[in-house]
Amino acid sequence: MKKLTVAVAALALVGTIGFAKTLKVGLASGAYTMDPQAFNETATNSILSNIFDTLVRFDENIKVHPDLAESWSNPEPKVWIIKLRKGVKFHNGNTFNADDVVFTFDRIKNWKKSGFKGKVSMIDKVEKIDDYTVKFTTKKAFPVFLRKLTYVNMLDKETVKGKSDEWIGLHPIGTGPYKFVLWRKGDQIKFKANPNYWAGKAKFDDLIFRVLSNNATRTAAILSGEVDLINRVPVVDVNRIKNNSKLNTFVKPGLRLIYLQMDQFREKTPYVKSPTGKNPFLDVRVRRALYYGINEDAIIKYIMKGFAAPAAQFHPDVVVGYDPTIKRVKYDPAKAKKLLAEAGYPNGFSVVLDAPNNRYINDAQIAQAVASSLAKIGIKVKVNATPKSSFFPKTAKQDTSFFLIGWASSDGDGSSMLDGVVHSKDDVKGYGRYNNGKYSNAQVDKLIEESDGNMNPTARVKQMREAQKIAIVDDQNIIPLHYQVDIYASSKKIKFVPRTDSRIWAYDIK
Amino acid sequence: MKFFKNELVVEFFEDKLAVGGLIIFIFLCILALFPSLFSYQNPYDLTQLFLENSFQPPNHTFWLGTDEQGRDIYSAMVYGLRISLYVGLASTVLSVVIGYTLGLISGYYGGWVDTIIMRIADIQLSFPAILIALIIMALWGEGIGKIVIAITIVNWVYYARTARGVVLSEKEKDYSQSAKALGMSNLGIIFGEILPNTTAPIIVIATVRIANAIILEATLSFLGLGVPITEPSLGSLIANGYQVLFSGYWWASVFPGVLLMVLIISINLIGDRMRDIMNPRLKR
Amino acid sequence: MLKYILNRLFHSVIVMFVISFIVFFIMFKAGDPVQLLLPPDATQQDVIEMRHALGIDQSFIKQYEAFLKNVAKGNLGNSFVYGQPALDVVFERLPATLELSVLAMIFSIIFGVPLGIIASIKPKAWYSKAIMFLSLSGISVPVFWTGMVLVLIFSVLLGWLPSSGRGEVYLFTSAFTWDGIKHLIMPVLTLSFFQLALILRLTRTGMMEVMMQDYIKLATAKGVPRRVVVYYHALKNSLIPLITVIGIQFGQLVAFTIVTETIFAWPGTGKLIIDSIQNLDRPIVVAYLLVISFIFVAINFIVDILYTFVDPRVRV
Repeated sequence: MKKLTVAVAALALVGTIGFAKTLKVGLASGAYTMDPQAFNETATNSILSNIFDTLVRFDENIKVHPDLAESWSNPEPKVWIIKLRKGVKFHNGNTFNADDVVFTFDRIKNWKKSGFKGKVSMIDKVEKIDDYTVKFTTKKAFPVFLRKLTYVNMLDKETVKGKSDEWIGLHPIGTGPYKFVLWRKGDQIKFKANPNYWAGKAKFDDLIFRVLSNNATRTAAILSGEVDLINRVPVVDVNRIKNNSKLNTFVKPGLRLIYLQMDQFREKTPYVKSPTGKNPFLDVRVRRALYYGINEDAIIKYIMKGFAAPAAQFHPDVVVGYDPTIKRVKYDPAKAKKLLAEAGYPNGFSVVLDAPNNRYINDAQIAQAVASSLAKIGIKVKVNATPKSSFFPKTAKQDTSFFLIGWASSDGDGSSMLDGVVHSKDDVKGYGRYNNGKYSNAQVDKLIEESDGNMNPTARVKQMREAQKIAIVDDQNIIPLHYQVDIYASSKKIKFVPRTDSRIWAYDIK
Repeated sequence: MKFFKNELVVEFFEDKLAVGGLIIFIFLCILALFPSLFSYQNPYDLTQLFLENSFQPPNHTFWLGTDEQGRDIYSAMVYGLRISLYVGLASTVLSVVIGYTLGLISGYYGGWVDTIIMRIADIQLSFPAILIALIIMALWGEGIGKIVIAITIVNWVYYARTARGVVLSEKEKDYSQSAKALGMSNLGIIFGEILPNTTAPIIVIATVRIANAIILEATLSFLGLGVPITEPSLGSLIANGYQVLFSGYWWASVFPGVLLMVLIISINLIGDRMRDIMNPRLKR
Repeated sequence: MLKYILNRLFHSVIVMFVISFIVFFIMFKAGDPVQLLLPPDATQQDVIEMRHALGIDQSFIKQYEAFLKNVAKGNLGNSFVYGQPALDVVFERLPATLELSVLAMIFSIIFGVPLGIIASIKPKAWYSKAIMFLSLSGISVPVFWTGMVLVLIFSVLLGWLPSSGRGEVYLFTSAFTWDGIKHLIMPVLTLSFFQLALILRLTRTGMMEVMMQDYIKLATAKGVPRRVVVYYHALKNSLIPLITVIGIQFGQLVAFTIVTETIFAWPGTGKLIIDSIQNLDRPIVVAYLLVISFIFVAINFIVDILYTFVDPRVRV
């Protein structure tokens, strides 16, 4: 390993002798802050991952690898002992040690504005054993512990302590492969390689992230060579980029499920007009009719241009809890009509489908295609596609009967969706915040809660699968549509490896 | 009076460009009034849309191609024209009625009524129209009715100010003074005497503002804050097509864009000519 | 004069106060920003804590009171999303927006006024008619459509100009570097198209009206050379209404950068305000609108002062 590091460093040195190498990346959205503990959001996390290190890190296939933690052990269900890497320096020269780890976790826990509370809420205590050993005690046995830690970026206690939130938000100092240079908000962020990075200096001396939020301009930028790499290639542009001999395209299955949920708790639901006056979604046959009645293959083919994977369950196959036995049903409008008739709606009903129009890939178009599909089985759907500013507060108040939404299992573990979307709404226990259709099944709840504390991986997955099976196969609590796919385009001059977690980690780019 | 009007009409027809504008505008209005007669698909009827027809280039079945939902662009343009015109006309009529009434009241009565109305107008004019509409739409959500109201909220001020200005100058003129002397009621004077004399400038402004209202609607739709996407206006068709413009599906935005331009140019040609006629100082 | 200025100042403060109240109220009613700020896997407890930390769990009156107290200290609150003082965030982006607006305005005046004069001298000539028809198209084409067509032609088809972003920045502006200028061309053209047409038309109307006036006719009759009459006497007098319009239009221009910045991914306040409205970032929205209305008020004030210089008949 050490030899390799030296070799890489030497190679990097050779690179710098000729000329400084710059990597320019065009991003669909930029960072909101340089404070790695403020706003938990994919684009910000992605950019900051180049400056900050975590104790453990996901590789490109969302498996946990050591980062600043050299090794770890789990002597008791609730106790984790983590050994830290030695000789790691922050960008300002300070040494990284156990005090920084304790400080980092304390800050997230005590800072009311942190968006990362969900990543540390399972922790009861963080204690320093010695300078390079830290002991974590969790409140309950917590199998997803390490995966959650991949979100906790290590701060330098000496630098950050006593500084205002505003200062921290502008002055990122980490241990990562790149150092902060400048941030022109809404335009570009400039980093330069950290010569003292513990795994060796990065290949590119300068790293520039440019914010190109408009799809068309982002495509234009990679075609004209203004940037070397873009993320979120618009699905309609993939072929055009493929036809360009100087560019490569990359397709990586993502973690985000796009699905429909409906009001499953009110006798009368606000946005439905049905002949009986009742809420048709309370009947599982109606929910199942929707599943059969949506031509998802056509949505993937024509709206997503083939860049999405049909979904039959909560998580894609890389996520813990995936169940290979659950398969998507075939599009069958005749069966859908039959189910509707059995449920007492031979002539359908009308409903408003709420959807965001600036949150997921082609969200409003998908909603429209769903409406057009359902029209053919007699359900009249009016699409109300609004900006996320009105969509999310609206669904959070359950001011909706039927909505299109997405969920990314960003820990690579199915528990987050089971806890947040499938479990009954329970604010005290902290479950079901996103379950705005208010699906509720006591047996499912029990299985989820049991699996959340089960340290035996095999038994745990079994419980998760059972919960999922009841919820989605028996109860059809949501209508899964598809998993998003991340598409990147890069210049052939660079070697890029796409990651499941959608981040752009420049150190891996050669 | 009749002769005077005829003279104006005659004068209007002297300008060939304006006549061209009028003919195009009337033609577009007919299209918009009976969209089902002129199109072969009802783009709002989701049972008629099939994803298999997605992004067809212009061909025999779909004259101007289709969008990603398999919606015929030509038919959608005819129906979209109707929505754009509706939004333009409805919001203009509404803002004329509201603005005009408030302006008349403000100008005629003066005093604190005037102060309040004009202060509100001032405040509103002290930030740009598009921002007001933008905030309203972002927070209310989309909808044709909502966009009409948003544009009305933005536009009433212009009529109120114009009406007030005219009333202030007309009030002092002989005819209204004598009406007052004859014991006519305030309302009677406003609506019987002053109103007919203020219509000319208002009509001219209204024509121009219809065009502006249509542009504003299109702009809001472009920013994703307009009418529902299942019932597209010209603006939302362009916005939707813009997403794929550079991907080779140019027809989805270029055709609606051209139609929008033609519509607005025709209205402006008419408005221009009317202004020239009604502004006697410019006559040579 | 001093009394007049103080009076204006007082009015402006009232106007800005009312604006802040209305916007604050609208944003208060709009919804819960925490639903957007926290990731989906946060719990309800996190939501409650964050609401408390941002002070948005209070009643409207209490929140507005807190806001006013902060304003008194020159602080418009911290952005919910960026965590930085809202005014700082707006001011940081303002140069990019002002750069676009000022350049677009200069461009519109440089081309709009002369073309308007040309079209006014011989209104029946073919070139006057051509200019007028083009200007009609100018006020008829939505800003976003102009931008789209420009990008399609110059970036996608010809590949001459970059389609997005701001180039190299030197001393607050990108107008001093070649890279910066290349990035500026299309956004400025897009933004100025409408203004140019408008200014052209107003210049023409103004000139034609002034040329009808008796004193111009008198001057011509007296044998003052035509050129002097047109470019000195007539132009000077037709400038007066133009100044007001340019003042008002500058404000509109700043607002229309919203569309231009969206198309060209220009990192100015227009892009910021769209994002902030969509993130329900109230402090930024309030700060932005206050800054914009301040610019508006200031420009109108300057216009009024300018008036007194151009037209000695006006006394303030």
